Amino acid sequence: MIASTTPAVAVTGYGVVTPHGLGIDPLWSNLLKRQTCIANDTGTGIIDQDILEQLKYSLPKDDGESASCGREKSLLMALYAIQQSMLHAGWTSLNSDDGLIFATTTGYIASWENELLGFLSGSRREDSFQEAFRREPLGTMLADICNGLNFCGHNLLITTACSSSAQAIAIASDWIRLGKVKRCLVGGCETLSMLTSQGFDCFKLLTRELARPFDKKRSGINLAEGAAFICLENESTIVDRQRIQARILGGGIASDAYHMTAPHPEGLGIYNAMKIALNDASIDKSEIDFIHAHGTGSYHNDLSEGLAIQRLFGEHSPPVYSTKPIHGHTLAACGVIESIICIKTLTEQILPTNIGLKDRDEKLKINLPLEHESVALKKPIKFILKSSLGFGGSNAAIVLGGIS
Amino acid sequence: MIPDAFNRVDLEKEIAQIILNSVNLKNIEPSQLNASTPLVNSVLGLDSVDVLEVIISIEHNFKVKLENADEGRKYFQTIGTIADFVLEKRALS
Amino acid sequence: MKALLVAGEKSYLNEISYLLKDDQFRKSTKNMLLCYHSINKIIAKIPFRIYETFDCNEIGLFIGTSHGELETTKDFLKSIGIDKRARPFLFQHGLHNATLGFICQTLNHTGPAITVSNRFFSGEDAIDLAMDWLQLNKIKIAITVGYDSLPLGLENQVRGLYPQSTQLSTGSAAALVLANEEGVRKILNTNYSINLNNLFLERITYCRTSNARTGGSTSTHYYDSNAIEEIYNNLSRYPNHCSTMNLQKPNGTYSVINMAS
Repeated sequence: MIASTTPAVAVTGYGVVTPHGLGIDPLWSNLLKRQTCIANDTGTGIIDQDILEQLKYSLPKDDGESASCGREKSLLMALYAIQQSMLHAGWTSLNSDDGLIFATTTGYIASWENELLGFLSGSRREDSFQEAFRREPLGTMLADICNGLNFCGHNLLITTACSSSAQAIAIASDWIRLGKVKRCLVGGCETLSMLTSQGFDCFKLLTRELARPFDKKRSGINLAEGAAFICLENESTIVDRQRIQARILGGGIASDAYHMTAPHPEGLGIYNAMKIALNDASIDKSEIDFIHAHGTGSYHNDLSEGLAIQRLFGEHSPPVYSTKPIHGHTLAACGVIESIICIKTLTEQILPTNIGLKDRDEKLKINLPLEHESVALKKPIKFILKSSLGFGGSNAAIVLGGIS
Repeated sequence: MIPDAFNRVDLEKEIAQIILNSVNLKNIEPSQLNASTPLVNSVLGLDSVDVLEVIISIEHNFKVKLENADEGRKYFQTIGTIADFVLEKRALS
Repeated sequence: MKALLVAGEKSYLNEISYLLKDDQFRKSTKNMLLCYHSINKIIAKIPFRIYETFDCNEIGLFIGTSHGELETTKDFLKSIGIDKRARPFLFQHGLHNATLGFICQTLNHTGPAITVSNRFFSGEDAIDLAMDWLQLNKIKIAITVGYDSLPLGLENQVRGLYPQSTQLSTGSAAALVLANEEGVRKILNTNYSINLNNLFLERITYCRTSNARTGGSTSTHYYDSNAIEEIYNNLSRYPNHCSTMNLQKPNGTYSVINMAS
């Protein structure tokens, strides 16, 4: 339990880029229109050349040279999301007492995996491969981000698969509570790669159709690209209260210890993570207005997560939603992208929809509004529980609160 | 093509060896396995990912293809049912 | 804030060859077994049982690695791109977080567990994160691990990421167990006659500007992640002695690690 003297953590800005376009607006308006970015031939969501060009154009230029010159797509996405987040928060630069926590599963791999195959098959020379290989350590991407921001403060890279950025948000909040940093930028980035596309595919986890989280007939995941960052601050230091978008009230991290890829059959880890998050936030489960689930559309994830929610909240759980059919599964970035959606629901007071949910999985006795069911708001949305599950049995949950 | 001098026992032995190789089991002899040995809950102790590996190895080795998850559940139960799978697919092609 | 250095250990590849032949670990990578072996050696030598003395949520696991399961990633990419036959096994074990997943599964660790990766500070970051959690009392005891190894088939490429003078081992992992005040109390409650180390680790100081220099010498035979191994070596050489280590990194940054009594 966090003592009442512990600083509250406020979200003062956010920035996001998805296959819907730059910023929250295209993502949010498409979410309201129930318009997916997932291509119906591939079942994936790619940030296309068009969006990338707009993104490059919007990044600052140094000495007439575009800041995007020579930079990888994933780095551009991350820098854009950071720039937008800082603009939104009114941060003109990062100081040495700020923090930065970054989440990614694959980093720059899309830029060197083909070079690797060329090298292994003998079609690429060792010295030219070495050049590409410099981007292999994940920390290289974090270093490039920090260099791009002229930032030398506390920085960290979390790589616990799909739960990475949710874990990062929990850790960033702790850094502020500890007084380790005054403010913290936290976010994640993921681009599609041969590694992840073929990897998930050989596990038969993907679908070319639109994912249908929690549906009886769900058949798999849609992978997508995305990057997002949020700006966190110690609420007591904020003079202009209008800058506060939402609060991070608590976080929880726990492990399944069950299997390397399959989640615990009863969602033990996510159940514990949610319990810890609620306790950390000093929020009773009855106060949660809705649960933004990980809900990937995979048979096992949705079952395990659903059972965990059922165990914690019972049959009359708060409504459970997954927005992955709109923006896809962005792996390490999903925690932060989906938290931004939660923040938007808090400020707009509009609930999302469970796209594709026509017939609930009958094993799940939780409140899962169907696609065509609109849930009337009986009271303002104040508290949201966001959950994230990752390969390796890594789990995280965050409690977000609105501003009254 | 299945050779004329086809022997079901040989096929099952070959399948046993493919299984052991695909899941990296070094200390089990193929002779410890027989047609009724299940993939899971047996001396093999395979999990779902191991079964995926076995499926891929069988497909690759015998040039056959699993159509869907239902076929997987039906045929990848024991060494004997995998042999049935191979024979049925080869007969069709 | 400081944490008690309960115990430390390290493992090299030659120590785990017997594990690699064991069918129980048929799916494990050498990195997983290096980490597991290091932790097991600690579990064997400390006078109390971590997983019985503490509740599952009181134990944190923090793993730092720079290259992660690179060899397995390479093998998976090769299986799809060259062999044209994807191997699910290899994908499962190729992500950085796979090592942590294996350790959690093998130790039945259900508490918080996090993988970090930050090049030269990978080991420091694992410790620093553990210290954050101990300071907040979110956990009472932490297992921190740092590992890296030379991937077969990419040895030269990984060597090429380090200064020419660096002599990397084929692979190593090191682990340190840290406890906060409440953790120490809980350990002593199990048996008052337990003789614990009297050495504490203070918060790590990072110098992140790359043109800084300190008196310390650059590591000539350590991977990015192996601050933990350096701490363990220091601990072994000078048990119960206060000392300060300046870990100079090849890019000019450094960390200052204080051990006090």
